[in-house]
Amino acid sequence: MSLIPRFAVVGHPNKGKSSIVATLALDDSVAVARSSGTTRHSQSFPMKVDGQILYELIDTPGFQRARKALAWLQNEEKKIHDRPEVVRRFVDHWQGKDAFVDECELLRPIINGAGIIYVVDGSRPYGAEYQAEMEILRWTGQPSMALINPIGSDEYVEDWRTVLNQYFKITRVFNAMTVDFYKRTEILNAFGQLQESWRQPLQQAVGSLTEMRKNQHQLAAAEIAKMVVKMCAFKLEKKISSTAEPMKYQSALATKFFNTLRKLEKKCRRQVQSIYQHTHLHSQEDAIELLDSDLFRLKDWYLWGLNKIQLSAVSAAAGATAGLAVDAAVGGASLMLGAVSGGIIGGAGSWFMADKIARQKISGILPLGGKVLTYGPVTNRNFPYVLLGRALYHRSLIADRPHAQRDQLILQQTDQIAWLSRLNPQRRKQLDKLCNHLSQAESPVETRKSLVVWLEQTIRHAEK
Amino acid sequence: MSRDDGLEFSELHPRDRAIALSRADPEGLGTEEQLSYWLSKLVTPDDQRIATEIASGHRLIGIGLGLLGVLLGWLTIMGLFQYDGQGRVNLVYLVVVLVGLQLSLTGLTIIAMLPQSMTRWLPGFKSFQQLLRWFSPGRLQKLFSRFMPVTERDGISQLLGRHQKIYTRIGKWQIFSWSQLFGVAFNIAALLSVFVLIATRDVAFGWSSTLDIDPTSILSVTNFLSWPWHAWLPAAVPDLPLIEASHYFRLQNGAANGVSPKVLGHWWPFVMLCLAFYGLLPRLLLLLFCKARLSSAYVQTLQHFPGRKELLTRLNSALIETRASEHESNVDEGIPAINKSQHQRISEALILINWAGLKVENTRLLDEILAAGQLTMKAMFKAGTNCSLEDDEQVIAEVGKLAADTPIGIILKAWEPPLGELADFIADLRKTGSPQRLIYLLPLALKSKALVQVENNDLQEWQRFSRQLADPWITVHQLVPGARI
Repeated sequence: MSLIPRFAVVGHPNKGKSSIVATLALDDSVAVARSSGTTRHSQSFPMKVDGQILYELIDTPGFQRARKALAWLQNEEKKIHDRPEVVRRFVDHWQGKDAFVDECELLRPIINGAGIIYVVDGSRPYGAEYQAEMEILRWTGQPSMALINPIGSDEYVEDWRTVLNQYFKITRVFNAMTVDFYKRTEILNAFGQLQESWRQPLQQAVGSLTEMRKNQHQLAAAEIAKMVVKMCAFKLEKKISSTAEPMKYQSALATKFFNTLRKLEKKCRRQVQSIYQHTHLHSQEDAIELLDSDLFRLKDWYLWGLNKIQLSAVSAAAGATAGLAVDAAVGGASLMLGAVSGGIIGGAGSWFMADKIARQKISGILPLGGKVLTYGPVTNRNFPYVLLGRALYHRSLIADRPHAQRDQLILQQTDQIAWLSRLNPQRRKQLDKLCNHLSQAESPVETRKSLVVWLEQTIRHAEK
Repeated sequence: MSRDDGLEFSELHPRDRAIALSRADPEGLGTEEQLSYWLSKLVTPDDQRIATEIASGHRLIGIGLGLLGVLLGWLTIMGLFQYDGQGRVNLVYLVVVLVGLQLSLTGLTIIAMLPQSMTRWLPGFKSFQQLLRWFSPGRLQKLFSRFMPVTERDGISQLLGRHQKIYTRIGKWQIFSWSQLFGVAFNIAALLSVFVLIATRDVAFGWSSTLDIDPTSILSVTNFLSWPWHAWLPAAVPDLPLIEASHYFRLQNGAANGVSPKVLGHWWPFVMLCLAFYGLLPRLLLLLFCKARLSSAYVQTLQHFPGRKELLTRLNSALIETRASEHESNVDEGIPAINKSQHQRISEALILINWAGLKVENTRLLDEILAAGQLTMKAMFKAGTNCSLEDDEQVIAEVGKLAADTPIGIILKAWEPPLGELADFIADLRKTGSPQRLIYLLPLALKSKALVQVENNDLQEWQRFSRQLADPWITVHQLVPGARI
């Protein structure tokens, strides 16, 4: 019996074995296909913590000739307690020959001590063709459990459960395409129940994964905060000669400005994907495009960030703050008029300026002559909200995405509208304050720190 | 860290965690020690070169500003002690410049140094501070940098230029340190110059004013200024007779007024101590303060460096690897299935083989299959699912006895994938009868026991299987429920 828990994921071809392995091994590079026979060789997915293997998953090809293999075993059987030995002889006998390539490949890890994870598709009915393979697995005498993977629908889950309970110690439903992090850890704990000596390493693995998940949230929060602070303060300058016509350069400068911001957002997304171990999603540019309603499509800003009325209110509050500072400076002698007028100007100004993004200016006379053309930073107060809305939404899609998923990331705008209204008043107030600092590019280091804390709390809350 | 900016977490974490674990007793390390160790492992010869250049650039700027301070200090004293042996060196000038002006400049320097948290609520104060900083002699570093070798200049720009945002605090205190160094050099040079002048010339000090100033008022000023040393150096505290004796009027053409010129020289200890206490000492203290702030800024920058927390997470969180080291290749999902299926009437009656294990014989389902496939049946056998291998062999033998050209139809569950067992069966079947005997694969789909249209994905799966058999006489025949015969 091997010391490290090993689990061979076996079953009929095309029943989602590789999907289950991809999801449990957090590996989005596993070949997951709708056609059968995609997996031709057993593949090991060791779970290592600082190089120490805690358990190992083995993806295997499906049974191709179960009836024939069972017939061979039955023919060789002398006594019932010989069965595991007969299976070993079967593998040794047929290894390297054409007749039972897949059976040898899938049975070898089991006769070497791996536990059995038998996978069936809960959307397809049970049939007699499964009987032979379940019987062979029983012959191995190894601890086993069954996973019903409802690919598409759960129409036959209950029928399957009735059948599988007759062959396996534990039966669970596990949808590799929709399962969340906690369900994944629950399944790993269930693996640990198959044998007493496997419990501890599996619990340790679950503990490590939970810790990793926490770190992932913190790192994602830091990455998003870094991007938002950088983008809110970003500006571009171009030195031009005194005689040059600024108009000629303005358009190119603006294009460069917007493209750089787009690149910064994309870079952040790649980092977040990398943090959550979705490294292969990078190559699926078209998959990301769907999510990517362009950052500067202003009509979407009211969807990602504040709507016009909220924006007006926030700006009014920010204007009022500025007014209050004036009041404080004159020792309250203005009888709060500063606050009132500041509020009105801020609110009205922002309503009319809601469709503007960034300011462009020509300034300065350089020591050796010439002018400086500046574009940015983005002045629109909605910008930090939009960036945060988009980044948080992207993060949640990535964090919840099982690694077996190969579909495109789909933008569900109706969900997104609510992200601000879901915040409780206190957290919303903190956000408004942070966004106010971001809009004015005030003390970026402190703002970034506070934003990281705020994002960590928000992500933790979303996880619950 | 800026180098790491282009790297992804999946690359950074294994690298940083490996560094953390490469040190014996990684758990026992303090945070700063851990960061220093990490840095030492990643530092490249290029980084070391840049560090050397920065240090050497800083030294050069310090030396330059020091020399400038010495030059200005000497020139100032030479100007103030302009004395041709006829008149006297006016003490009022000396006190105004060496005490008043120096103290004012020191005060403005302190104002410029005040942290933002203390001045936030004073409107316009930030701009005032920026204006003051603009006049700081430390800013001359830019001028000195221009005359430096390219390598040193690059080093300086790394710290104070390109990464200015990160090093704001360091930049601020570095410039203030240089300014204080300039001030210290100025005062030391001034002191030495005064000493040299006094030692090598006879300098007569005096004071003069159009205003009707009483010598006792002057005494109170000199007493006030001499307060720091009056207890331990009373000889350096001017007394009333000396003040009265030093009062002169230019119309008297600097005449000694009956006073010995030797007495007029007794002012020098007072002048030198004023310079030391109100010029050199504050600058020296400020220099020490700025150096301390600079060191603390370096530590703080390291402590608050953007990405520090993330780096510590990478160093201290276990590296969890769950992926396979190698992945399957040659996945032929991308190869389109050849459209090797048909739906048209088959004129000849078929030998049907029920491989699906479904109850088909003598049922309504059989009629539906025949109708949906536009087929007629000559004979029917059961093999595969629900049958033994012997049954399969029996069927092959029976089929072999029938006419060698009679086409065969194999009824299959469309939703189950094609298996090797079926391929073996077809291969054995092919050995009987004509090698050109047509074999039709008949995948069917059921819903509530009634025949329904086969899903496209399933159909493609069977088409792929048919292609893999590499037999031109095998076709997937599509069953279309409800089709007219």
